[in-house]
Parts: sequence; structure tokens; C-alpha cells
Amino acid sequence: MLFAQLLANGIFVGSVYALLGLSFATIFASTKIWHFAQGAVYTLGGYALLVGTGFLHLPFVLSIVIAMVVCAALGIASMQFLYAPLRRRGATSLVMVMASLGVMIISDNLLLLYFGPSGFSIDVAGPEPIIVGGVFLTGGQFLTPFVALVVVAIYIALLFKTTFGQHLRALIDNEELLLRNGIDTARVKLLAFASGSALLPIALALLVMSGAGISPNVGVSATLIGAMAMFLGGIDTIPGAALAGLLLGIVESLAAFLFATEWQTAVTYALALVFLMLRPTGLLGRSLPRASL
Amino acid sequence: MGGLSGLGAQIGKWVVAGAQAAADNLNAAKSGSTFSLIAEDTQWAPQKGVESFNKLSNVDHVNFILSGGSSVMEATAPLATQSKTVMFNTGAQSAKMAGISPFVFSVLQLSDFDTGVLARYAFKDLGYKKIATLYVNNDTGVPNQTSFSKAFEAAGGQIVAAEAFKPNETSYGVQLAKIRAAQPDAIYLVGTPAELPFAARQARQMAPNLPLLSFAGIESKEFLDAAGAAANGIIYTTTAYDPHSDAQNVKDFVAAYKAKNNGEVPTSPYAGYGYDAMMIAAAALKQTKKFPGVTGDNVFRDDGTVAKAVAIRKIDGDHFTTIAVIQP
Repeated sequence: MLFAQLLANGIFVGSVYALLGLSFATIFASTKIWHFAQGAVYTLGGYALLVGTGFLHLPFVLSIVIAMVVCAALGIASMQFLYAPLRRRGATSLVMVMASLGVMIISDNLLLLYFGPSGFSIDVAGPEPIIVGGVFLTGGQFLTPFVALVVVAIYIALLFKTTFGQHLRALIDNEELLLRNGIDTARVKLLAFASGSALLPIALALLVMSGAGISPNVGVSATLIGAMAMFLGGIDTIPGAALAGLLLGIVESLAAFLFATEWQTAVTYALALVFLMLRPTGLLGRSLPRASL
Repeated sequence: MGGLSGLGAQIGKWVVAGAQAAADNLNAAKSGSTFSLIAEDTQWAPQKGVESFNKLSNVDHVNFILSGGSSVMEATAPLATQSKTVMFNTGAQSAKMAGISPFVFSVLQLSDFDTGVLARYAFKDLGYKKIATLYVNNDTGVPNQTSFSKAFEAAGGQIVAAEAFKPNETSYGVQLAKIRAAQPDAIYLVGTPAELPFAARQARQMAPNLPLLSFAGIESKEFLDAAGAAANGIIYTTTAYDPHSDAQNVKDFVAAYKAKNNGEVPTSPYAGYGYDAMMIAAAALKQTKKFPGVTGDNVFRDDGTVAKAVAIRKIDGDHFTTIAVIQP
């Protein structure tokens, strides 16, 4: 029974990780930029959700939509006002990484100063807990995989069915070819930042529904998880990151079946490391990673 | 010096605000000495603690230091011995603080005493035979979890699950799944203000019928605000400090604290520890041996620890209700 309970929990957190992986992969695969400031965007999206629900008393779903718009705007701003100017000035990838980390640290500390170190919670009226075959699920845990599945399905459909999606996927393979065909790749990259960032508040909102809080530090672990899901999925495939995120959550949860919970993270990341040693291209990756720091 | 940014910054800020209130009162009393504070951010990290200690001791030439965090205290206690700098422990509850240095004085009860009080109360008065622990894997969680478990087992009870979570964790589903499977009578929960409210909320969601026990760090307005209805009914132990007490020294403390903190009442005992440490230092200048404080009388043992009364409390709505006070 414990195994089934942990598996159910793994599917719940894995669904959230899938969204984080999708978000990170969309931005990195298409732009080759290590956007660590995504952690700051995630955190700021959380505070946008808090302001909408807690301070302005807007409905939760409307607050999520507002937070998505805020995050999309922050994603675009990251590209326009941080990475694009740095690239124009000939900054190396390492400089961009440092700048990105700097933005995350500054943002976290400003939030700390303004909102204080204590976390905030949001009361969300969700479905009642249910027991399926002896497995106990809170309303949020039950709903999350379905919401994530719908979001991932719509997102992947957009990637494969729309012109933007086609351009984005083409950008992953060969930017030069797109430029020769007159495609404005700078615009495609901006849209990649916007769409990838807009996914973040959905992931956070699903956690909040299950009792998680919003504090200045929530973005750090989200960034690590998103990056790990992207690597495990394969850095040249966006859907692979969603699948890897789901599996990462399940493995992380099931690790607690065999080991004490303090070993959970170490065991999960050791397994991820072994997997990458055996298959560096990731789950659905097609070629060896071409990006470098 | 204390964690003033990042994880656990709230506790550091309470201590600094409490110490500032003491300095304000001492300076207003015009006792002959003028007290001023220099705050250094250790982020509760040993290396940062050593850097902060060296700066305060060698550059600022302070008269005494207030510190906390078990790993920071362990790293800096030898420096206090070498430099003969008096250091007050205002936040580390690990049993290792006893006798750590002849120059270190703890103004808070170490975890073995108050967790012992709670463990015996849980077993004998509340009738819990099996308890699961849910704790943060750091300086705060591990010592409290260890001492509570030892005391509960010594009383005759059984710890059926001990589940740790990472600092700043957001999801406790795995730990709570294992706790549910172990079928305890109650959960003993320890964390920092960054995790406690959310661990409590998720515990109430995933194990709605299990009573929650906790520790002194839970007693704050910030916890009540963030935990909401999940806070109700939690039983915990803390230093028998009451910010609404009629005692004159407590009134003086609360007034000075409110004056500098937008009228906020210092509900956390950590603010009281900061206040008491400053007051003890001021009194020590007058060669006194017993130091009445807002968190109880301070009579130091030879190992630098202090014996204080412990209160067993319960959260009733937005109130902290005292169930019993246990004398040391």
C-alpha cells in the first residue's frame, strides 16, 4: 500500500515537474541560453498569484492567468533587457550564466526585503480528499495530473500545429537555415521566453493547491528540477523534458520506498547521473548536446 | 550575529529586534554605559559565522556577541575561547551547547529539556503510544527530533516513523505518505519558519485526523498567518515567556520592541532571548549572578547552560494557550 501511495504522490509531483521541464526546455533548447533567472520569474509569478488572490481577492483561476501574463512579460524582458544586450556586446555564454544567476539572487533578496522571509499561503477551495483503492489523495493531488496533462497536451499541440511551434522546433535544429528563409529568429526567441515563462505559474499554482507556500526561495529548487528534467529528456526535444519531469517525480517519490527520506534527493540525482552516463542524449534526444557553457 | 537573509532569516531578525529593544531601554535608563548593536548576517552557515565573529571581534572590537545556530556556535565557540570573547547563545538548541566553551552562555533551554517535557506529556497525559516525527534536516530539526525521540522512547512510547525533509522544501507528500503508512497516534513536527506552516497545512490535508505536536519555533504571528486553520490545536513546548505578562520587565521589553517594529507584539521567544542576552550582559557589568529575564530567571550552570521553566501550550484559533508550566 505504501508503494501505491508513493507512486500516486510521484505522479502528482512529477506532473508539476513535467511543466517545469517543459518551461526550461522551451527556453534553453531554442535559445541556448542558461536562463537561471527563470527561478526568479517562477518566484515572482508566485507573488503575482499571491497579490491577485490574497491581496486583491480575485478568483484563483483569474489570478493564475494574470500571473502567467506577468511571467510571460518577465520572460520577454529577460531576453530584451538582459541577454540581447549582453550578446550584442559579445558576452560569452559564461557571462550570460553569471548575469542570469545575478538576476535570480537580486530578485530573491528584493522579495525578501519587501515581503519578509516568512512564506505566504493561499487558501484554495479544491475537491475533497478521495481514497482510491486504499490510496489517499488530497483534492489538489487528485486534480494536478489531469490539469498538467491537459496543459502539456495543448502546449505540445501548439508546438506541432502552429507556425510559431514549427519555427521554434526548427530553431532548435538550425537557426541559420531559418534566417536564410527570412524568419525573424529574434522574435521566435522572444516568444519562446514568453511561452516557457507562462507555464511557471501553472506549476506553482498546482503546488499551492496542495498546501505549498510562496516564499522568496521557491525558485531555486524549481530551476534545478526544470534543468534536470530538460537534461534527462534530451536537450534538443521539448516534449522529452515533460516526460522526464514526470519520471523524475515518480523516481524521487519511490526512492523513499527503499531508503529513508533524507536520502531521497541523493538517490534520485545519483540515478539521474547514472542514466545520463549511459545515455547522454537523454530520453528522447536525437543527437549529442551541442550547447556548451 | 545570526541568519538575517535567506533561509531562517526570521529567527535572526527576531533576535536582533529583541536585542535592539534591550539596548534602547538600557540607553534610556542612562545607567552609565551606552549600548549599540552591530548586526552581521551569518546565513546560519559556519563559514559565514567564523567570518562574522572575526570581524566583530578583531575589527569592531565588540564587548560581547549574541549568536545562534548549532553549527555556527560549534564553529565559533573555539574562537570565543581563544579571544576570551563572551558569546551568548540565543538560538542553538543542540545538547552540544552544554560546556562548549567557558565563554559561551545559553539564554535558552537546550532541546533535551523542553522536548523531554513534551514527550512525557504526550505519552502520559495525551496517551499517545506511537508517534511519527517530521523534521527539517538541519541544525533546527535534527537536535529537536533526536532529543524528542529519545525522551518519548524513554517514557515508554514508540517512534514509528522519522521522516526528514530538505530546508525550504515545498512538498511533503512523500514523508506524509510514509507517516500515514506507519499509523502513528500523532506527528511531532519541527522546521524553520520557511517550512513549518506548509508542512502543517499538508499534514492536515494528508493526515486530517492526526494531532500535531511541535516546538518553540512555531509560536509566532507569522506562523499563524501562513498556516491558517492548520495551526489550530497544535501542542508544543516553549520557554515560559508571555509577551502579555504583567511583569514590569516584560512590559518594558514589549513597549520598546513595539516602538521600533510598527507596533508589533514580540510573540516569538527568540526576540525575548535577544533582549535577555543584552540585559544579562549589562547586568554582568555590575557583577550580578542571577539575571531575571523576560523569558524567565537566568542562573547559569558551570557548563554555560541555563535552567528555565518550560510551558506546554496549544494553539487555539489565533491564541497561544498555556496548558501547564514545568519548572526545571
